[in-house]
Amino acid sequence: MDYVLKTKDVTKVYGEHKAVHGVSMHVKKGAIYGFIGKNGAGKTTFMRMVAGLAAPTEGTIELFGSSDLENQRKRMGSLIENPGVYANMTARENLEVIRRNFGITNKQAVDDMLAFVGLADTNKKKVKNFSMGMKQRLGIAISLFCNPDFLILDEPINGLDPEGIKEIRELLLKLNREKGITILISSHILGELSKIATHYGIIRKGVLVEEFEAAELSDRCRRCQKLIVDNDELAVSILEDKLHIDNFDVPKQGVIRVFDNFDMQEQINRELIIGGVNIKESYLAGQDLESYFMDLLGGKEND
Amino acid sequence: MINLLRGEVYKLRKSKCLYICCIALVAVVMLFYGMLMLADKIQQGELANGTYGVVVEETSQETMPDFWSGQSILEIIQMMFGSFGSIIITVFVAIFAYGEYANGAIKNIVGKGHNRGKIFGVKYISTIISAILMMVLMTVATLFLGILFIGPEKVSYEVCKNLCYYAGIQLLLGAAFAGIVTVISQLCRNLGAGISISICMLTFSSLITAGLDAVLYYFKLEVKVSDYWIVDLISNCPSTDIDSSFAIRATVSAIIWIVAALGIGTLHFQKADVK
Repeated sequence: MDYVLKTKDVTKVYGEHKAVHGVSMHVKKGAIYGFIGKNGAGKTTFMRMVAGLAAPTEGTIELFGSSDLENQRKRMGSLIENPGVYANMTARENLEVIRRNFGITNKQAVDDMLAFVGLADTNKKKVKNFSMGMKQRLGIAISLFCNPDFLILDEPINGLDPEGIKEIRELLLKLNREKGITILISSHILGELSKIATHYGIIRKGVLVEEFEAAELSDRCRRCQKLIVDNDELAVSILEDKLHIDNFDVPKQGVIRVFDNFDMQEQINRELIIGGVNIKESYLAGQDLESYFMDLLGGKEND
Repeated sequence: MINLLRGEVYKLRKSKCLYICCIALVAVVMLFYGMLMLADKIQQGELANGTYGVVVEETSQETMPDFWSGQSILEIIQMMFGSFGSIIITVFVAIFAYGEYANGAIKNIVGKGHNRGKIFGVKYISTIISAILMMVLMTVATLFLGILFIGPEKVSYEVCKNLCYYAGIQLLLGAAFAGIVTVISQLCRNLGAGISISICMLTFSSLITAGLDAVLYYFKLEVKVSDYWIVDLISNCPSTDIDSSFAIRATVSAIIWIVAALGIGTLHFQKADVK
């Protein structure tokens, strides 16, 4: 498998506090990897370690299949927390600093990048007078300046209005589809993230709880009758033999999800009780993405 | 590294702070000469003593026939290096060094896989070079205005020779001082703290070194800390008749401080988390 980013047991400890604990992440080439977690879950700390802004206390990081991170990071762009821009300079001057820092001889590259992120007409306006969205776009322009193969974006749509969010979304999709850039993106706006992400990673209290593909997510959010029973083996046999239902699964012990057949809810409950199954809970489930993520993130437990 | 240096030069060119501090340096020199001009008018009786807060007191028995003839350009330059100039340069260096952290722009370079040692090295070199340029500007402004006010006859061959020696040593000591301020700013990563600590170092460190000298003297040790501390060397540097032992001591101390500050800063930056 061609991974752009592979980490193994990456841990970051600040004093007594483990901000990130044993994170093993796998970001495939060409993916848009949605990194989800609550505030303080460790998303930014993890991204900072990948970007080389902080050193992991333990664990290993591989970029483009190599452990030579200093060299591989040249193929990477990042926008972590706030865009790192000089407030007293214009957008053009900010990119000019980057152009010189990276020894890019083509002066036209600055204008091209400004046009690409829609900041071509900012002229002599200082960055300190930019709107939040313009600053974010400039931050993205800086991260894109050396044609990276891998982009790390930490909350890039924070503080943007709906139009700005849409613009950034379209920009990221364009980068991914047209330039083949792999993106690792974190966001609190889960609905928005679900519009672009092809893969997800859920981090909770510094631990990467789960990684899965977007296709898998829709399956997990499928509408179903959820039964919590004391004896799932007996319940399964009743469903199959007496009710002739085969469209169900047992995601974990004592939990049965029956898909479709929603008109048979009462009959299913009745037959299970008659068959000697003790039903603790029976309800119609089927979550939107937000609710599903909230469950994974720990629901109200972490609030 | 050359590319990083080009980026730093571009930032310096675009840095408002550099221009403001340069203007402030020249303004301070002009103000100083303006004050001397007032003193001259007071001495000649054209203005009352105490005008604009300038009080002229005669300390010697014989009265100078001409106020300006009693002034020395070298002493004025010495005063600039020892007080106003150093403070303005400290403020500039602290602002320029901290600037990268203030807006998070340092992330753009570190996150691109540049070697951290080189990143700090380039910042260090560029702040030292800009501090040297400011000191040269201050010296040239003092000299030029001195010629205007005091007269070209005061700039003899001897004065020029002494000025070259003095300015050379002061530039080296100033470079070391700028290096130390750069490291302090990097360690603090807080503009207020960086400037305050640096100015405190400039103002009070001589008291500490004097105390340490006393302790060393108590233990009958011949060595003096103040002989090797940059701030003491800057203020004690004679403007005329610089003896070779002072010149060597100042040069060696400056080089050691430049290298030590670079080493400490690089070590810290290699390990530090960038925010």
